[in-house]
Formats: sequence, C-alpha cells, structure tokens
Amino acid sequence: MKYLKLVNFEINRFFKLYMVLVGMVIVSQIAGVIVESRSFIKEANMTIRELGLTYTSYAEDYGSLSLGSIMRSGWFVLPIALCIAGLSFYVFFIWYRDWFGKNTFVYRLLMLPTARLNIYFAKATTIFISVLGLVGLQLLLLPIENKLFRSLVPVDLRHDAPMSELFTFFDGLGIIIPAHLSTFIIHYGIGFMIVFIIFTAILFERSYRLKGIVFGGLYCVIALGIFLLPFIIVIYQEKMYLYPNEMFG
Amino acid sequence: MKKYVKAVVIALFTIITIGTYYIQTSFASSNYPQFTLKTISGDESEVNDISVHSNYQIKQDGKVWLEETAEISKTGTTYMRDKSYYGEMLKGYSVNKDYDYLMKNYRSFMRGNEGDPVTFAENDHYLVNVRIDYNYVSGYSNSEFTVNTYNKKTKKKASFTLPIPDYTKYDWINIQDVRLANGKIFVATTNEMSELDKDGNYVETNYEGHIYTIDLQNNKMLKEEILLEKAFKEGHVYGLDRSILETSPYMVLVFDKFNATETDEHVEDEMEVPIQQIMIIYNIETDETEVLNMQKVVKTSSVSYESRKGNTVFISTQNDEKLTVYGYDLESKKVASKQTFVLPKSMMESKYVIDGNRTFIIDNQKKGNTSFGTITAYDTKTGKLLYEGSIEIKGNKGLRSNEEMEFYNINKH
Repeated sequence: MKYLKLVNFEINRFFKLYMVLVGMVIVSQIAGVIVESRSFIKEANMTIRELGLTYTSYAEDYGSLSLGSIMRSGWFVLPIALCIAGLSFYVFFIWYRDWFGKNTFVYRLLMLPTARLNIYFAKATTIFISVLGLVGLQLLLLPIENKLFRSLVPVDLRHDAPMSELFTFFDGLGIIIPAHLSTFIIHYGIGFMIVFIIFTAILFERSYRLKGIVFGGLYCVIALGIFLLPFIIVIYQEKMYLYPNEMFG
Repeated sequence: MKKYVKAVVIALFTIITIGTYYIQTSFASSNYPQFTLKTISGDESEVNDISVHSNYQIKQDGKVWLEETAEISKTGTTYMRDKSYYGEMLKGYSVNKDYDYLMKNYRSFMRGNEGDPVTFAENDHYLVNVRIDYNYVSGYSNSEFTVNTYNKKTKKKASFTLPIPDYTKYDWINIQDVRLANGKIFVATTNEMSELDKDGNYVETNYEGHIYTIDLQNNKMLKEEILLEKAFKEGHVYGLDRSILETSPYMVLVFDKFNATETDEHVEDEMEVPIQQIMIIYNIETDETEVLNMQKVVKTSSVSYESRKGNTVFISTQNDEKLTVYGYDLESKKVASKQTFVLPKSMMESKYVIDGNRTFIIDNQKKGNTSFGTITAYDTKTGKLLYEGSIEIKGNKGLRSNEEMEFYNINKH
C-alpha cells in the first residue's frame, strides 16, 4: 500500500504538467486535421473553379488528401516530439526536484517508514504510466481524427486508408505503436530498461556526487555493454555463437 | 480509493486503449487481399514447399502509396508487414532444409558454425565442416582450412587447421563442396587469381578447380589435385548445390568461359553467351575425374545449370517460349532424360523453377475476377503433369482499381 500511495503521490505531482502535454497533443492534432483539410479543400476549390474541373478529375491530376499525409505534418510530429522530450526530461527531473526544491523534500521522502526501493519503483511506475498513457491517448485520438477527416473532406478528394496502414505510414508511429503486441512489449521493455539504468545512474550521482558521476557513467556503459554483448561477440568473432532466439534470452 | 483517482484513471485508460487495440489487431485478419493456390488438377502435396513471391501495391493518383512483399502458398498469403519481426526471430530462421536439418540435429556443433550448407558433410560416424576464415587468401599470411568435426558415436567435437598448399598463388579460394568417404574429407574449391589492369583495378585472370583430400584420422593433408588448371581468362566458376541429405560419390564443379574482349561494365553478365561451358565431375570413391564440354553434350550454344538431385544434374536450354530440360546422369555419363515445356508469354522473366525432379511453371494470365494466374508442376524427367493450381483471390470482388498484385518468382522452401 505504501508503494501505491507513493505512486499516487508522484502522479499528483506530475499531473498538471502531464495534462499540459495531453492537451497539447489533442489540440494540435485535431487542429492539424481541420487546418490541413480546410486549406486543401480551399486550394482544390480555387483550382476547380479556375479550370472548371470536377472533384474526381482534380484528384486525378493534383492528388487526393489522406490522413497519412496530415500525420506527417508538424501538427502531428511536433506534439509527439515534445511529449517524448518532456518525458525524457522528467526522467531526470523526477529525482532532482526533490533535492533542489525550496526545502530538500527528499530527506522527508527517504525518512518515510517504508523500504526506499518503493520510492525508486514509485517514480519508475509514474514514468511508465505517463508514457503508456500518452500512447493510449494517441490510439484513442486516431479513430476520432479519422472520423473528423472523413467529415471534412469530400469522398472524391480524399484517400481512405485503414488504421493499420496509417500507423505504418508515419514511421515514428510504427515504433511508438508497433503492429504486434510482441514488438510493443519489446520496444517498451527496452525503453523501461533504459529508464531503470538512468535512475540508478542518477542515484549514484546523488550518493557520491562527482565520484558518483563516474560510477553512474561506468554503470551505464557496463549495462549497455551487457545488453549489446550478443551483438558485440558477433562483430568481434565474426561468428554467430547464439541462435537468433537466444539473442533475446 | 478516492484518493487514488488520478492514478487509477490514467492506468485504466492506458490498459483499456492499448489492450483494445492489440486485441482488435490480433483478431482482425490482414487488411490486404488474401490469395491462395486452388487445385485444378493433380496432387496438392506437390506444392507443399512452394510459394509465389509477390509484390502488392496500392496506388494513389498514379503513384505508389503502399508497397509490400507477399508470399502466396496453398495455405494462404503472408504479407511481410503482418509478420512480427521479433516473433519470427524467436521462432528461429529457416534458411533451407539442409540448414534446418543440421541445426535441429547438431545444435551444439552448429553453434558459431554458420556457413553454406555445402561446406558440411556427413556419414554414419562423423559430421564435418570445412571453412576458410578469409576467402581473400592473398592478404593473409595464415591462410588455412579449419576443419571442425563431430564424432557421432562419442559425441565429441574437435577442430584442426591445415595450411592451404601454395595459397600465395591465389587471391580467392571458395569452397564449393565438402564430402566424406573412407576416412577422408574431400574439399572441392574454386581458386581465383587476379592482377591489376591498366586502370588499377583487380581483374580475375584465372580460375582453377581443386580437390583437397584430408585424412580425418591423422588430421593431415593427403593430396591436392588440380582438376582444371588455368581454366579461363574470363569466366565464372561455381559449384552445384547438393543436399547434405543425399549421398552421391560425385562432386561437380562448373566453369563458364566468356569472351575475354573488353565489355561495358554495365552489360549484364546474363546477357552474354558463354563461349565454353565445362562441367568437371570428380568421383570421391574412385578418384576419377571427368571433364565435359556441356555445349557438346547437349548440342547447343548455351546451357543453364538448374539444380542437382542425387546423381542427376539438371541443365536447361531456352528458345523463345520453349524450355528444354536435360537430366544428365553422373553415373552412366549420359543424358538420361530430355523434356520440353512451354513457358507462358505473360510473365516477363522468372517463369519457372527446376527443383530436381519437379519443374514448376508460373503464368500470370488473369482469368475473370478471381484467378490471377496458374502454377503447374511437371515431372522433370517424364514431363508428366503433377499439379495444376490457380492463384485465386478470396472473395468475388477481385482487386480494387488502385490495387496491383505482381508475381515475381516461385520460391522453394
């Protein structure tokens, strides 16, 4: 229960900033669909009037609009990039704010009558929930955006693609939302492993200061080395000692 | 509980959205059109290990909007996009039948021993693998054969190295076949020499065919035999793939000689007609070598080597839409079978595959809305029709006007 309380406490502290990120994604992506669709229709209508074309012949000559092409615009890419940057920053901030606040809050946190490991896991859980929450938001937003797009752009001027096609079109989204659950687990598993490694390195730094930076750095290098060891062996030995399925083992 | 409302809401939202998405995708069938092989006549099992390598495209306003490779087999269509990369990796790769056999039965020996299956040989007592760590031998002072052995009775692995005789004479040495007989390992290689031309580029100047005989008990090189010395100034050499699962006392090396006149680099090699085609057959049991001029054997200007099954080497000649397949018997030293097949005009290239005793021909002539072509399988030796199947799309609608499915070639697994 102590752990859950700590998770809830951490989420409450992050909630406002998190809502800003959520709001930004929703507003920017929805606005993106509206603005891009409208400007496309406006341009199309102008050309159609000037040249006396039909919607179909315009689409044939000038191309139709798809949600996929809107998804490649800054309206989509920027908020996603900002969320990634924000959460990456928060991986560090979640620890350092406790030391560098007005009063060193971390001492109160560390004095709590619970295992200190709970604090570590609570902070990690907050990061995981926030990351996956944003992924979930994107999954919820896409069908809504698709509906909105269909209602804005006439059928002759648009290219309808199934949802899974949209994911594969925007390469970055393919990493964030892979087509298979196994790939999803591996991508996020690796991501969370990195978060744990960074957390430990931060605690090295907090515990031993300057020396700790060296320890932390070494720890990161060793952890990365162990992670990449199967590949390093292949490169140096020029032989595959491990079968592909053992590479993950 | 009320205290935890924010955490609970975010966690629940995450689980529901991500969970729903992946449950949906796991139940949903592929978004792409599904093709299958529908038997018209013959035995369906003939195409058990056959698939049609295809390319699917969605076009938007004349431009390719989505492109995806697919494999069509009798069990259905597999699109690359629908495969999970990690899932495939966890299942383990399947390169070919020989490799699967080796990995399944000698998992520990095969660890770190990846390489061409032809570099492995097996008899009742041993499994051996011969490799040269650096095929580019002239650059290394320690060019040697590494022989890895596995004793099936004692289940012990061993390894030894042997220097390659006169390796400094050669620039490249490639192992084309390895065999085991009477306590000896036979290694067939093609050795290449090169020199600098006037522009400072290395050009192959000579190819040789060698057989190295290694004593398995004493780990010694017994002899080196040059099957064809100073073969060609300009040419191609290659071994004919044979399966480790088949026993045959014959090792086969093939040399194609091309005109040595300078040709434009951009001209595709396949466009050139070889001026001489030689097949060398070495019998590991009798130590006999035979050199054949294949153009004379089948009385034609150019032959293609297709495949080998046991003691038969299948070679073909093509004249417009007529494909003639000869089965050359290594034992009786004569052409044992000759069959002519008519190739479809519709496919541009890669119309057929000769897998030993079976010849597969693909035709991409559409019939109606649902049939996108046919696959036929014939007995290579007798010409008998074994199987005829239609490449059918599921459903009655066919493809949408902006969709295209193109067949590239027949894959044998």
